[in-house]
Amino acid sequence: MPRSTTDIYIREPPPMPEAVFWDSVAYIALGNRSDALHGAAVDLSRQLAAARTPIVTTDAVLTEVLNTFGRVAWRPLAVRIIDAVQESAAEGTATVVRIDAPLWERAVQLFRERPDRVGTDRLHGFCRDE
Amino acid sequence: MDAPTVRREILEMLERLTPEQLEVIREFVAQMSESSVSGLYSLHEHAISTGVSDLAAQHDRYLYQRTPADA
Repeated sequence: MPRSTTDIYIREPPPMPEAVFWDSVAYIALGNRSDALHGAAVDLSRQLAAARTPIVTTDAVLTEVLNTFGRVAWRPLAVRIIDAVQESAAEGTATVVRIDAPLWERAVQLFRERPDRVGTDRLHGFCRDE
Repeated sequence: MDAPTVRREILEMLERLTPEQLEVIREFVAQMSESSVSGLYSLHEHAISTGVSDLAAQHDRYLYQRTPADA
């Protein structure tokens, strides 16, 4: 017997992760209505919001996002992103991992030990893994 | 009435609705969900149109002039 839309969309919601790491792509796709990934990002954000999934991010990621939206015309969005991070952190739904000296040292060590790693090989990728 | 009972009654009523009525309900629930979230989960409500369609996927290239061949 075919499943009803209620079964598919209400009784069997997709499993949500315990927490989700927001990297630069997430912020940029959500903040840029022109982006090819915007629609998919909004859909995923709504699903995660409905599940109240905690967000984890880093100040290194935020630096990259602010640089991306650093043009004068885009700057209000950059400020809005920081406000949103602070709101979520205050609500307890987001955690911003600060890249302090010990974390930076461990990330550099990973960077040194993994010369083969591609794709997310910038330092903040290693900070995320740490 | 407790929440599980309410949920069951709603699901039973949903089964009797037409696809058009389900769409109305979906939009209503989506609006309720939107109004109850804030911070990062409402970030898309403040989105701007940059005119750049590959900014997310290619932000490395825009920021660092990095190409896939550099990976």
